[in-house]
Amino acid sequence: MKCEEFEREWQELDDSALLSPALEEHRQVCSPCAGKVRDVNLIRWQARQMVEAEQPPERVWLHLRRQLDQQGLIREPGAWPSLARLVTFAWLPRLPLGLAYAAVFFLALGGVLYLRDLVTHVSAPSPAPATAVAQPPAASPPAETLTRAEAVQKAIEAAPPEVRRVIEKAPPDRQPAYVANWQELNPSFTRVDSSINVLEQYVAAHPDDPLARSQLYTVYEQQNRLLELLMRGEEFR
Amino acid sequence: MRPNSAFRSPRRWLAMLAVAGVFCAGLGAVSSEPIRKSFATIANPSLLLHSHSGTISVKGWDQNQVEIKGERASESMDVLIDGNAEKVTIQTHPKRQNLSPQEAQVNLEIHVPRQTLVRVESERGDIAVEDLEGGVAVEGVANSVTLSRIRGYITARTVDGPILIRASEGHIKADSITGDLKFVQVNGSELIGTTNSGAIHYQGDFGSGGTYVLHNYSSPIEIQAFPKASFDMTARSVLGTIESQIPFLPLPPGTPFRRSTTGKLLQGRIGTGKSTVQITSYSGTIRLSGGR
Repeated sequence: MKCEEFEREWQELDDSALLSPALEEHRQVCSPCAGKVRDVNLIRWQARQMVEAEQPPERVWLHLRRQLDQQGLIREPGAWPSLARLVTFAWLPRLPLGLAYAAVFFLALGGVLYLRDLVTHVSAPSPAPATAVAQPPAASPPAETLTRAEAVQKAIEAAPPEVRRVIEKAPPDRQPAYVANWQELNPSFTRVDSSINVLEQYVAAHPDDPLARSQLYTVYEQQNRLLELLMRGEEFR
Repeated sequence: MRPNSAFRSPRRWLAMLAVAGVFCAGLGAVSSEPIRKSFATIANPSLLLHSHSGTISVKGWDQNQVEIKGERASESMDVLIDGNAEKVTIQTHPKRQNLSPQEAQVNLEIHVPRQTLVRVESERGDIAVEDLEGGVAVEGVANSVTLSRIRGYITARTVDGPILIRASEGHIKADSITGDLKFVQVNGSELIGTTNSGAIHYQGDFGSGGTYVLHNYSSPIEIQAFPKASFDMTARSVLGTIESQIPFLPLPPGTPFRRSTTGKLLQGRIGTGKSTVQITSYSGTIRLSGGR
């Protein structure tokens, strides 16, 4: 397969991380194309991190809104003060009070942002509320979850057998983190897998070569280390 | 009674806003509150550091005290420090999930007694350890590791970060998967440097009568031997080449690895052959220079 064919077929994929065997074969031997795939996977991964940016739970906003509403500082459309009241500047004496409330509001907002870790840790251990705030009502969060679950499943299916075995043995709630780890370590996995393939062939052809066997053993150790690293630090994903 | 009368004066609400601003500024200051802690210790304590992201500097000094200074990039990271006279542990821990590497950054500068046994684990960020004699182990992932003036057992591992060891002696093991390895004036009873696709550079005299094993799968291996070097060399590259500017003498009979093998093979002696050097690569080029 040529690089142009690879690019054309790759762009037509629904999920650019899920390569067909022919594309995968080309990627293994073509470092420029492998680099493009790696870059796109990295961008996709970073984009997911941005979507997951933490925000205060929705109830904090609702609580603030209710308080401001009770104080008369905000009103629903159509409930504005009468024109006469505006014309007579009856609101003017309350301006300092309003500004003071605004200051308190921003102070509270700062406090909420500052303490958001504590709030989310105590009463909302799951990051789901952040998604709910970022996305307007409807059923978008389940759709997002479904898409992500599908993406994780596809990534697992696309992983090399030894990686897939490790990920599939993990509890389901940790599998996304392991997949993210694998995507991050994928360049190293690819190099090590390639080395193993080449060295295994060489050792098979030269069984009496002690140095080649030693090198193959070293590369097996490197692969084991990468598999251990798959299971690290899921709280950072 | 006029309950809102206090707010009718512009001076009052301006003052409130000012107080609010000062309070907010205070909150900002708290978020960058520096980390400072110290422990009186014995002469050879142990230091265990587990960090996720950020620069780490560990330096030996002539005091029986461990001193820790640092700063967090965000309040989302806990820094748990515990210690006594014999052992100090530092662990960074996220307060919530999905932290970015930037948010997880904790930069630490630590001074320890020279005989301290140091172990550092980290995923990202530069790690520098220097002036120690009690043993050092560094486990990294995407870290750049620099170890200087260390004596004793030295272990450094990364996945894709470079490892530089300089002016050090002892029992040394450095390995990476895609990171480069560089040894400058490093001697010891045993030095093992392994990387899959990283380059290897050794500059020194292969002293202490030790065994030096450097091998990779691909990428160059460059050796620059100092004039006083004395070692027996076996270099082999299966698919790569060997370029030598060192005037080797033939090895005496009975030396290992002398039988014929495929690929390029070079064997020879410099000086009296005090140390043993084995260099292997599958497809990398091995370049040897110096030694006069």
